[in-house]
Amino acid sequence: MRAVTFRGAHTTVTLDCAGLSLQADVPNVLGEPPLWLTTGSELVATLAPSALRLLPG
Amino acid sequence: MAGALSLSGLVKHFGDEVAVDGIDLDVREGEFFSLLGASGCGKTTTLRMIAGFERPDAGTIHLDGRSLVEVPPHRRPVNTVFQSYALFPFLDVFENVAFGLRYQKAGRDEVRRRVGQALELVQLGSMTKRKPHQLSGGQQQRVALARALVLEPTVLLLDEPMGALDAKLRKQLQVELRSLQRLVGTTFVYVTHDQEEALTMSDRVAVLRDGKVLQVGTPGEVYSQPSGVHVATFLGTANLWEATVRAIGPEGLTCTIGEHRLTVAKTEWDPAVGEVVQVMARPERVEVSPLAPGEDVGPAPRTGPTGCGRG
Repeated sequence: MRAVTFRGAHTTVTLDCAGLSLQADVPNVLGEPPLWLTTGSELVATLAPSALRLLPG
Repeated sequence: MAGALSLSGLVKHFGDEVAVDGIDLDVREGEFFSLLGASGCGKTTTLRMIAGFERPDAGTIHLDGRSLVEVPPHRRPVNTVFQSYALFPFLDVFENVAFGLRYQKAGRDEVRRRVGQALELVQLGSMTKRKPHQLSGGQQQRVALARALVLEPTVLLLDEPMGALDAKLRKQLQVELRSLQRLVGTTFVYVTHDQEEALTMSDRVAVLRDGKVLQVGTPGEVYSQPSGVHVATFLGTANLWEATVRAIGPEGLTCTIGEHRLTVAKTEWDPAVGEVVQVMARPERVEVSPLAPGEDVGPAPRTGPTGCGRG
């Protein structure tokens, strides 16, 4: 995890997944980022097929 | 009260510049419809052609089946609210709102009744004697709104009406304006460059760029199913990756992004195998969880119901 930005209802994180950079919004718990969401921690990022959209190149 | 608006093949040039380049749009009766785009995309010019302030070089504008192109602005059953309010500084609130009715030679009792109703609608019934300089920006914009609504237009055109207000007041007025539109049932055509504003208030949104309509849809459609990269990036944050389609199967399309392999659900637009495409994911659609002790998911993010990767 490269960057963490607190945004109130959620926290935006920038992840480096083996060279693929992606940004994710993680819901905060009672107004706070989850305890496991800290810079440098190892995380699992899941992308469901329905979360992806194809656009013309 | 009807208010179905139809624009077809609308074109407008200013010198060599093409401001509006063949716009086709159908706005439904009673709809809150937004024209959304960056500066210079043609949204205000489109609005001004509907109002009659600009004459199209080509194309047609119909309101409830009647052509408006040859109708002068003051004869069109439309009214406009501007960002600058355009209130008369020497008239009080009541007289500002009454101005159009007096121009139409409405009787004194009718003026009093309709102005009173319009000011109650915008919650300014107690400020009738104030001059514009004695009002806040939000109150002045409400007077402008009452002045436009008192004439009971079939369509109300709003050109960035909240552009001069601070963020907090703008959010408050967004909610009020949406409630007001539902109450009166008038067709609203709303011009804005503010994505959040358009998504919050509109029944449907048209996203414009370079004088063309890129996509029309509900806020949910244009946000979740953008038609292209520009709409995707203009409406919020988007992860975008260039990918190559490798296979098309019943479960979806298999694409590669460099070394990574992803499965993407089929959409109404299906490219051919070998085609280079863009793959988009909104940040809130990326699921993130802690890596369990002893768990090893491999180095790469993959997709699928159980696919995952390490961050």
